[in-house]
Amino acid sequence: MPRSGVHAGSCRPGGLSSRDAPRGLFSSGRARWAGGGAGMEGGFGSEFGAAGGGAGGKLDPGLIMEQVKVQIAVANAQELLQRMTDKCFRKCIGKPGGSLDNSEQKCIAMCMDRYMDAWNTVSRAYNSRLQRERANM
Amino acid sequence: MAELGGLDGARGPDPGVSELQRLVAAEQQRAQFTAQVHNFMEVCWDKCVDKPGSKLDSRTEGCLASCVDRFIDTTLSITNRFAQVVQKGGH
Repeated sequence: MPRSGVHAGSCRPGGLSSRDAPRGLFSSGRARWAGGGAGMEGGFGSEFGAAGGGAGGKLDPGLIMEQVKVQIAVANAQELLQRMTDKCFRKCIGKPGGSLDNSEQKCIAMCMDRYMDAWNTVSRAYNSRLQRERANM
Repeated sequence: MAELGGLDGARGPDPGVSELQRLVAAEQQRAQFTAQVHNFMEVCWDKCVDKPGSKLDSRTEGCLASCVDRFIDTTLSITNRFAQVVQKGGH
């Protein structure tokens, strides 16, 4: 929770410019995340070692940043799935039976799509607010 | 770890490091934004979405957008008032 409710980022006060802001991670209700399928095994050290240019070499920001972005994307996807599962379970499953019946499965599918739509809406609203605050500063 | 310290042996600061710091800071800001959206969803989904339908109707979309703004307003309100309370000698 930000201290003042508005992000004062280290790069730019008041949040993201329209160039940087994620317009919505998902389009048309289908999940599409930047870089998926990468495992999160290993700590930071082993993965960045090669990008560090080996013994005595200069750092390669490009390679490291690619890995950073992938890891962030994977973590975001995990977070999203966890929260989506929680919300959709609560909305769609009444008294848990012996299996998920057809209506429950349909509800879950719709719920997933709506959750991602809602996520995009909230993301856009937040970004607009940050830009408004930034314009007022 | 001399590279991470920004020093390239005896030759001075590695330009790759400050560039990296800048890029990482930008990604961090983006990640903070995303984390905040997750937090808003926690609250606003329950408030605004009743039964998930085949699409989000305009009322729900409006509710979600308002929810974000009102939540931020609430945070600011509480922060400001709390600062006053603390200033006056606390509870």
